[in-house]
Amino acid sequence: MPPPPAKRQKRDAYKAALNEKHPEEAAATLPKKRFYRQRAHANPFSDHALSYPRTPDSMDWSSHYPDFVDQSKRIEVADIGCGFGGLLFALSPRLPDALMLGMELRVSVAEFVQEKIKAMRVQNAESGLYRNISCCRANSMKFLPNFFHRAQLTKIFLCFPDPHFKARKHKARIVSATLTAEYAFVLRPGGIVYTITDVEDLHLWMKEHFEACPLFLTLTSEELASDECVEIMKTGTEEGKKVERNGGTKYVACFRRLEDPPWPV
Amino acid sequence: MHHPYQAIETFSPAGAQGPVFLLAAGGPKLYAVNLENGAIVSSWPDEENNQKDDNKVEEVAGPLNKKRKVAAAAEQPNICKLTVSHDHQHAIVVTGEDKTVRVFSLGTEGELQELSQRLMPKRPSAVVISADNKTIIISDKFGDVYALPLLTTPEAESAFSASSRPAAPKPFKPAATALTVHSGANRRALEDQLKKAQEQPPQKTKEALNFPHQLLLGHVSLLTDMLIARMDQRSYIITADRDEHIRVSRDFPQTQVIENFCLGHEEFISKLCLISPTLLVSGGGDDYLCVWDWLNARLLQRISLTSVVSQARSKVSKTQTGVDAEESSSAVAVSGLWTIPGTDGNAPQLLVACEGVPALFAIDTSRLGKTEKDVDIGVFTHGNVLDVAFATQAMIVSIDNIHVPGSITQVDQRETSQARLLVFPRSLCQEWSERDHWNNLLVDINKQVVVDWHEKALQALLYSVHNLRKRDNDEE
Ligand SMILES: C[S@@+](CC[C@H](N)C(=O)[O-])C[C@H]1O[C@@H](n2cnc3c(N)ncnc32)[C@H](O)[C@@H]1O
Repeated sequence: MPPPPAKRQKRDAYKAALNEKHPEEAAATLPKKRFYRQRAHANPFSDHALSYPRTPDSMDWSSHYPDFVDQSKRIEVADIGCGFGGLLFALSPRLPDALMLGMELRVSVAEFVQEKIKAMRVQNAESGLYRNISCCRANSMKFLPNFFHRAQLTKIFLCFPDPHFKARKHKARIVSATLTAEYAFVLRPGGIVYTITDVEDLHLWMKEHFEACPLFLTLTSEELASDECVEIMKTGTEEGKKVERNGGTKYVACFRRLEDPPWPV
Repeated sequence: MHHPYQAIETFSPAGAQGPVFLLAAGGPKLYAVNLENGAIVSSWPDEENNQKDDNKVEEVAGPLNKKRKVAAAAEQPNICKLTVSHDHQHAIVVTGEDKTVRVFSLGTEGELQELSQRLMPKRPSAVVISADNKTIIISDKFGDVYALPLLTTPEAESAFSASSRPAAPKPFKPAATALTVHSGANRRALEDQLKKAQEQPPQKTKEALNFPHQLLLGHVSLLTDMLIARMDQRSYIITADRDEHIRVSRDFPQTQVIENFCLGHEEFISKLCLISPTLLVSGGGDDYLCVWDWLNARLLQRISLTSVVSQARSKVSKTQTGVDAEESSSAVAVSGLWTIPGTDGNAPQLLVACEGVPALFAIDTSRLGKTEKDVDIGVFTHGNVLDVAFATQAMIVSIDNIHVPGSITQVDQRETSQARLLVFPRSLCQEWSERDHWNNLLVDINKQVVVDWHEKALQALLYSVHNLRKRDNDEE
């Protein structure tokens, strides 16, 4: 859903004014969230006139990661439903060699993250930070295999997914009985799915479905404690911060991709 | 003019030496025709039972009687899929409007006997039967694939619902607390949940199926076609969706393992067809077919349909006026793909039908999967093709007799009533000619008045494939 035209106009007017006054500064100015807010839910079933690559090979990532163009490096971390991108910015300096992509269904929110990455790269020109993260508008529930090859990813983050409380809408959840197979497809054996939510039932739901899928094994609490990404996920995401402020509980569950089972004989 | 036969199949329950029967679905009705003598040997639903039902409606209807009766007739669900088991002992019949899967036994004299009815959660889009004839696999328009046992008994069903019923009603626990709620809509959903929980005890959701079944896999898309393929003793389920995906998964019980996706279409996919163990052909909203090495997700060839489709369209627009220019130039929507074994040592043929294109296209499969771009395509013009079925000696083609050939909207006003079912000799190497002997056998079924039809409903029944195309959407 695009934002109401008025909001877009205001945003454009604001950008234009900024550009006119201080062209250099404009490039380093962070986007303002209020111009990019959008209704909380976009329907993952509708067509949306999305653009997505025909195949993973047909995607040109050079504009997303200009500093990595000649390195034939592949994206290996996906933040699915990345929202305003907090996790990407927190992960970027911690995993500097990994290309990471945020996927976000809401147009304006994805644009916000793209703008923010641009500005942050300019602000951190010297340290070279944030060159390894990018964001695109995508419906990950439908088009994950258009973006990633089989076994391409090492980490998938599913942070504070929309809970979709109504039973009728359970298939709209980012984790479902059937989607676990798609996460398994793009994840390489040994790779990890990270989930976090403040909704206990959703936590149990995600656990139930990943545990029911024979391609995943749940990480033990010791394993969780020793994985720095777990902590980053708790504190780096916008939702994580919000829950912190409200004194809510954060439920974490992570799952390791196992090797494909042998064919039955 | 009579209602067309939207789906046809053949079966020979007594084995290859026994008689061959044609199964023809016209609207909500099903007929079995003995292809040795043309006799209609069985029909469903039973005409007599139907009469009784009608009377009942009238009795209770009172003053609203007329309206009710019309409604009752319109509500008779149309048959949208026909599948015969590999051993020709059973037929699976799907009716669309009521999302019901029915299993029939096929007698040696062509008798149809309804054995079971199962209501699916969403409208089925494709049905296949496992190699051992024990399991029906159904894909639906919500993107899910289910397996059901072919045969079910009331005992099995009650055992299933007993085991799936929660032992004791769980105390209601809302799915969130006010603290955790993210948006206004969620808050309202939560409030609703709490209110409902107070008003009534929790119920089983409406979608819960009360018969043995298993969810095998799912796409977040509309599934359009599905097939089972075997390679090196391994079995796979191949599913196609409206979002241009062909997914290759391992067969049950390892359907969570996705082997690959065959990506390359630019529009929806509507049909899949295996032309050899290794080669898969797919078609849909693109004006080409894709030929795949499906196990390795390699696109080997795109076969253009552009020129043959316009050739077929121009043929009819020359012979008759009435098809307006806009329709005759509209996009391609592949509605049928079939293979027929070749005769006299020739390679099998791939037959292709496109919605509202008055032709069957025939492609020599020995030319497929190679590098060549230009593949000869035979064009046989005979009206809009609805379905094709095969017998040992011949091919039976169901034609839309209602609409002007080349149109999916315009009703043919000419007086001469067209035969709905035509027979062609098996060999397609020569120009096709209708076979008098065979066509005599179809006199009765061609005369059969099926049901009244209404143009809008008929259009929806016969021509749904083009609706899969995504509309230009004003969202960015
Ligand atoms: C509650 S927000 C969480 C944002 C972020 N992960 C965080 O923790 O701060 C969930 C996000 O998922 C996005 N989303 C929902 N379905 C999606 C889909 N199918 N593909 C991509 N993003 C989706 C929503 O638009 C929303 O921004």
